[in-house]
Amino acid sequence: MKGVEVEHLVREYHMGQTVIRAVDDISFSIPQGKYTIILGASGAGKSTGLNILGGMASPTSGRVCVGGREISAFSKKQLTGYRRENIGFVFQFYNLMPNLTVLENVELASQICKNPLDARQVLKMVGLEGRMANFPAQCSGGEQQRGAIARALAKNPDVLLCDEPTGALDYQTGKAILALLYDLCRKSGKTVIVVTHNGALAPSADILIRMKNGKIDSFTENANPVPVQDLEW
Amino acid sequence: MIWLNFLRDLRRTAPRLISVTIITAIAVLVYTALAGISYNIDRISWGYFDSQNVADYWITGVGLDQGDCRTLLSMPQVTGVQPRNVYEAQDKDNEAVKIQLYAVADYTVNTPFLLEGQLPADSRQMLVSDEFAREQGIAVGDWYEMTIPGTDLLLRLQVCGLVKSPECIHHISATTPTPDYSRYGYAYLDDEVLSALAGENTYNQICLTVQTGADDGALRQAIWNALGSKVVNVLALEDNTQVYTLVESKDSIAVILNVFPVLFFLCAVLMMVSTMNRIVEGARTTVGTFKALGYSDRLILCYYLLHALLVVAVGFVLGNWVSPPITRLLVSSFAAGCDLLPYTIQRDRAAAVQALAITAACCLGSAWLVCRSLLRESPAQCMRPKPPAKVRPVLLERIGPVWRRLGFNQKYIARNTLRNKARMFTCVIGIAFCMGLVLLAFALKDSLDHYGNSMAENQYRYDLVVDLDSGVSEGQYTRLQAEPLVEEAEFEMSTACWLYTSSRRTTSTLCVCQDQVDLKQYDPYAQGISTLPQDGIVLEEALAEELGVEEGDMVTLHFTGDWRYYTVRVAEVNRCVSGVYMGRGCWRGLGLAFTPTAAYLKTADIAALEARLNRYDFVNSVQTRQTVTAAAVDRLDSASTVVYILIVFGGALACVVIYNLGIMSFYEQIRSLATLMVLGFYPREIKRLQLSENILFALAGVCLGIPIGIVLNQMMIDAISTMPLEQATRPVSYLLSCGITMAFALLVNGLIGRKMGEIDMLGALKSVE
Repeated sequence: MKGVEVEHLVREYHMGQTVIRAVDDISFSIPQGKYTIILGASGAGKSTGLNILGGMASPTSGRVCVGGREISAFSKKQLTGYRRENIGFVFQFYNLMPNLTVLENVELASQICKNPLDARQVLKMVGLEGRMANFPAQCSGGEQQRGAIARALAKNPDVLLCDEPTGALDYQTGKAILALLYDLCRKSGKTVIVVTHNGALAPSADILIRMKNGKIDSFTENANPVPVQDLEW
Repeated sequence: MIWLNFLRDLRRTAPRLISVTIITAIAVLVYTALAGISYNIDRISWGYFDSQNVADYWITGVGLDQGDCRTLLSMPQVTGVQPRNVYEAQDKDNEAVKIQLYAVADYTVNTPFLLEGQLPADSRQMLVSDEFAREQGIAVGDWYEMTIPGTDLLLRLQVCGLVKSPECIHHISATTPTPDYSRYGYAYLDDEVLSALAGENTYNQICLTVQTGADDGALRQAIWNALGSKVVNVLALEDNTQVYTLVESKDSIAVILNVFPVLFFLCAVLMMVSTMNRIVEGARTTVGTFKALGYSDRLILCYYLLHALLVVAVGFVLGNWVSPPITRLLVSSFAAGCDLLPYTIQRDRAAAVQALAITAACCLGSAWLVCRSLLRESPAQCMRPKPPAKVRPVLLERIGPVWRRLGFNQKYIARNTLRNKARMFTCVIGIAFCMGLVLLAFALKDSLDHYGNSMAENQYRYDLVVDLDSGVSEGQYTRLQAEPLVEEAEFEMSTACWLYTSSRRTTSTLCVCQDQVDLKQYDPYAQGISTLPQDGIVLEEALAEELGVEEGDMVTLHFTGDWRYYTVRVAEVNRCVSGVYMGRGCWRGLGLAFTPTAAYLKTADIAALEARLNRYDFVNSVQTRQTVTAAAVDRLDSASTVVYILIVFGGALACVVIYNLGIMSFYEQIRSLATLMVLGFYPREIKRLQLSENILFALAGVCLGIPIGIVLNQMMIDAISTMPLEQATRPVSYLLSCGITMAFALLVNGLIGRKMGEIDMLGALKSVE
């Protein structure tokens, strides 16, 4: 199956003698092209799960398949290749390269992929056509996050993973960013997974996964998601 | 809790702190080790001189007597007088074994240090050099027979003690230019033994001790006025090679000993300032948090000063701890060939305190300055990351045609490299400085080798040098030219002289050479045949400066035993000559007789000619060129050892500095590296992007280091007045210094490349949150 499949995923951290289970035996599947929200309080294990999906961390046990490939069995090198070709990652704090312009930041990602999108087109898509020649320090927080999304999108990934993408932004800007992600998912058919602790966003998801203490508290498929633009919080 | 945080902070910053600690340790090590050379050589030499009451002046003359001694003792600056007779004897059965005899009435001046036995009880006993005794198989109680050449005197004396003498530390003569106790020794005996030869109460030498700080010029004039034509030569302690050689060899490279530690410290200061600056600046949010929590500025200041204090304490202790073996090695290299009392190496406490003060001032000072400026900001300002620098296109971007041709990666590297100017300048200057230091050490070694080779292969072109009898006649010495085995012959006359100007005077050795010299050049770097000026003298640059004269000025010459004064023109001032040189034509023009003291001969059969020359009664000794040059080159060995040590430490410093700069850059860019990892860059691609910067810095540093090395070398050469060194850096030295620096840069890149694999990308990206 295309999309994401997770079976009995466990991620443990060892702190001296103590073993902490950040993700405790979770299983779910997300079909291709769904706008998914993983919701939970701090320490619920949502970011850990997202990092494993993004190939940035390995599970202690369990099985993770993305696009039909079992990434939980990947070597370090295979995981790098997976991040390179299949995953786009958006962080809370943008993580743009300070010495590259917005356009160059997008090209940084697109130049290493096999099937990248045109960097200028992607920037136009996220509404940054007027900021291409600017450096990150010359852009606002919202513009920087749009740049980060453009960078993730330019790789033409199967899955777009967003870890608290609006955490550092004000209400209006955050809403605009989420709307952008929502539209992208709808128009491009890519799987978008957003991690957030903002419960008000729940109605917009095709699939809503609530996490608590490392476990899945609830898994809901929403047949009638509400567009982000229509939400208020 | 703040101190628990401090300990964890130390762990986090360990690679940076350790590297700057090692840099500090190297600077302290070089400073204290080199200062230790001067300190220990002075301590060993002057301790020996003081304990054995070594003479300050040796007055050699004819017919000196007790009346002269009383006159000298009545002079206000003179504290002690010892009349004596000095003769050269030879073993009764082996005329090649020579012994310098010092016949003294007492041992108050130049007191020999008794190692075994006792002082002579009567005129049938003598004290012998322990080294000579060992070489000859002589023991206390043995009887030894000697003859004095030119006389029919046979001496048969019993060895009553074995000694070392403070006036024979470097026991050499015209025939033995390097100490060789198998052929040349010394002995002290009662003055009565030689009274038959010298005459009752008649001496050929008086040793003087004078008050500290006595005026040399006034004293020499007073001696001259008192003893008149009886005086042949007045030799001061500082000019007496046999006694002063150890101190002199140390003084000859005083510039190296003084300047190198300063250069090492400058480099260490640059690294300390940059490291402390970057560590404290990197912890600005922590400083802000402490302030916000209510910790006092003083406590926060102490927190970061403790980092610096640790660097100072560990660096100083480490450097100071390692320095004595290095000092020991260097002092023993200087002392090679010197017959000293057993000595120990002590730490130069003053130098250690100075090194500690400099290190503390630099390290604590830089940390204090950075912390103070941070503490002036409000907690809110501190807790925010430093605002990004004003973004401006790098220089290369303004050159459109070039910038457009660059690939994406090249643009990335160019931006990364050129955007952070502080990092770029610190790296380039740090590497350039180390490169300059390594090149300087190699270049100095080349200059020393060039000087040694010039002496051995260019200045001395003869096969044999003949020491002629002082009364040799023209008829006698011209016989040497007629020798069938002699292909070419040149004669030289050396004599002590006074040089006067209207306000200054000094003494030196005047060499009268043939008008054209080939077999022994007065300038070691001269090419072909040198022609001496016909209208004046060639004066050593140091002497010209002492007299305050330049080319074209006039000086007056005066010779012992001659009441006349001769005014001559300074035709040439040359930093490479030693003393005063004059052509035979010019000498003849003064109306003076040419009585050569040495002959330089060229021959195809050295051994045969040597055998024939020994049959001439006016030939005192014959030496080969190899013997003479080996002695000259040996004297450069101690300087070479110092330079070798400096090459090693310069290289070590370069390595640690490059590591420090590399690791600092690595930590500063760890977030960018993690982002590249998340984007799916393979490790080799990340290394190519990030580590290219280090290579570019190393290349720029190497290029800049070459002129720095050349300029430093020229400064050193100009400052070393005791040796006429020249720039003679070989291409291989440039290649080696560049190669060493680049090799270190690549090695450090390898280490940082391995460290990249250890980056926790999630942790690195979260760090700002």
